Amino acid sequence: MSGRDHRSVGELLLDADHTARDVLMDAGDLDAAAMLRTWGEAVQTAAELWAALPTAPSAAPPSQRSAPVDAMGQVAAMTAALTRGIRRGPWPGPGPTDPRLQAIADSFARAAALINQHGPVGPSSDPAVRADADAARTRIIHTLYLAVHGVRLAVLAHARPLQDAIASRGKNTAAGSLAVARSVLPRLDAVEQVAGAYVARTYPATLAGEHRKAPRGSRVVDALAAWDVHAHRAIAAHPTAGHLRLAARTQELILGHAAVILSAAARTGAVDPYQYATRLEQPLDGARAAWAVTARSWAQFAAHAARPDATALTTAAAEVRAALREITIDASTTATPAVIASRSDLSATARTLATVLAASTDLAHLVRDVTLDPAVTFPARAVNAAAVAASATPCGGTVPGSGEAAHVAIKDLTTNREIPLTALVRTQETHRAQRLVAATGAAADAGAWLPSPTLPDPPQEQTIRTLRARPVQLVSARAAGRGCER
Amino acid sequence: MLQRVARLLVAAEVRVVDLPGTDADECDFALCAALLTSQALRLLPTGVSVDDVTAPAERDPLALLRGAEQLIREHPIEDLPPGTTALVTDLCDLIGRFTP
Repeated sequence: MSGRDHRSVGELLLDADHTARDVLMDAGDLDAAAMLRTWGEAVQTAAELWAALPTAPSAAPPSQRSAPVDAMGQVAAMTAALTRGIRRGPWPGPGPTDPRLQAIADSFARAAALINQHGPVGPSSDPAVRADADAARTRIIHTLYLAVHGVRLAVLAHARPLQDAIASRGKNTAAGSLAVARSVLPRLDAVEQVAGAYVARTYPATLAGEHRKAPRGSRVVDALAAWDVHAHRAIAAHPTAGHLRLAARTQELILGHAAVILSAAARTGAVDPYQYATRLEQPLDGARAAWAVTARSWAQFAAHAARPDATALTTAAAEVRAALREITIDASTTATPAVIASRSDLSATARTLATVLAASTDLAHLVRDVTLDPAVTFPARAVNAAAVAASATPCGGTVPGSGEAAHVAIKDLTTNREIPLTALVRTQETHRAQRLVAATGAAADAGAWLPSPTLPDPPQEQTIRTLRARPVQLVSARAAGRGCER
Repeated sequence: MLQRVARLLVAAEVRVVDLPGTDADECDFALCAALLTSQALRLLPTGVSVDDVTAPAERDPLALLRGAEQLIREHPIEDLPPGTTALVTDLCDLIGRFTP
């Protein structure tokens, strides 16, 4: 595997920002000495990156000029003085650096190198370039703002026990360290205030000008494939109520977004609009609704003995949601077909969604198998609650034969032991799963006309002869059907 | 405290049917609540279960999320286990998206 860094300037800045957030997440485990040793380098690389960013031409009117550069200059000057001072003091002295602040410094240095590799950038008259540069400045200061807060927390945590030791015993074996910490804290506070003022002025409004790369076409394909693998694995190996409800919820979400994407594909001619409207639209919504019913049912089970779901499954679910929303959501509403078409290759995505419909049916069969398997167990309280609900009639009575007795043994309820489904609950869940299998199967059948998920159909012999005679781009007979005339 | 937070998140997911909006909103809210629940449950010490906590009487899923956020807010973040900040960020994000 190559160790070469392929991240863009934007990705490096985002990574630095996320790393700074990580610093705050682990506020309890920060090493003040290591952070103070690394803080200066983080600020210095930030200042170098700042200097490399394009600015507005001096002739531009003030309204079009980039954000003032004083904040970075102030932070850099204050930090340079601070690090010079502590270098001469008894603490922190030489030692290891902080890996996260080091990673931030590395990201800034790499971003500056990327910008400078073709020579100095200089002023730019392009408003989009200047807006992107202003967004980069905001990201840099925001990162430093978060990071300096982390450094302050670390120094405070370092100083507190030393102060307590003095208060209780009247002596301190690390008096030098405490004196440095006390002198450093107000200076870090000053840096935080300068950075904070800039952030308050620019964040997040300036980020709107950040150059955004078009969504990576393969992201949604990769995310759906990974989800399919993890969902099958989780339900086959650990069919807990939580996994069943997360799988069902995610399938519901996938089919909901699939409907939005396929509708956009139909409206823009990427797939046959007539076939979509008359054959697929309704069965697709039926399959989505069946997954929703399944999810609600298993969510009731999961609530009675909540356990964390497998990390691989939750990560895959979160990624598939993010990948689909990247295409279908614009701000907080559903994107228009034109916007969706601009964000993804709808013909290719439609091919992927054909596979999704087939995979959805397979997963539904797996859910049904779980309901039929007497070896699969669930928390006793969940089974009892489901049995009570299943034995109640709509008018408040009980289903004949279900009786008044407890559905589950009291000792199982007390300890919430894992038990198999009762006969009544099994019948109900199996019926629900059968309906799910039928609905997803109907959607998969209705989507049979969608473009093949593999290669386009091989052209007929006649077409091959024609193609050999005429050097034109190869299109499959299906893709050239209704709606693809343009 | 995190036990009660997890209990509120579990309840919010189950109560999602009471959320006004479209099916897509309900689905997205429920999935995010399920992911948040797993996040919160991972922060609990081994052997601690949310089943010991009484189910909240509140039925509004958004109010349940706000209740969870309020509970966390009452404690300094540095006193909570690593990973709580990510939970708070995602929780606030979800509340913000569904607040009319």
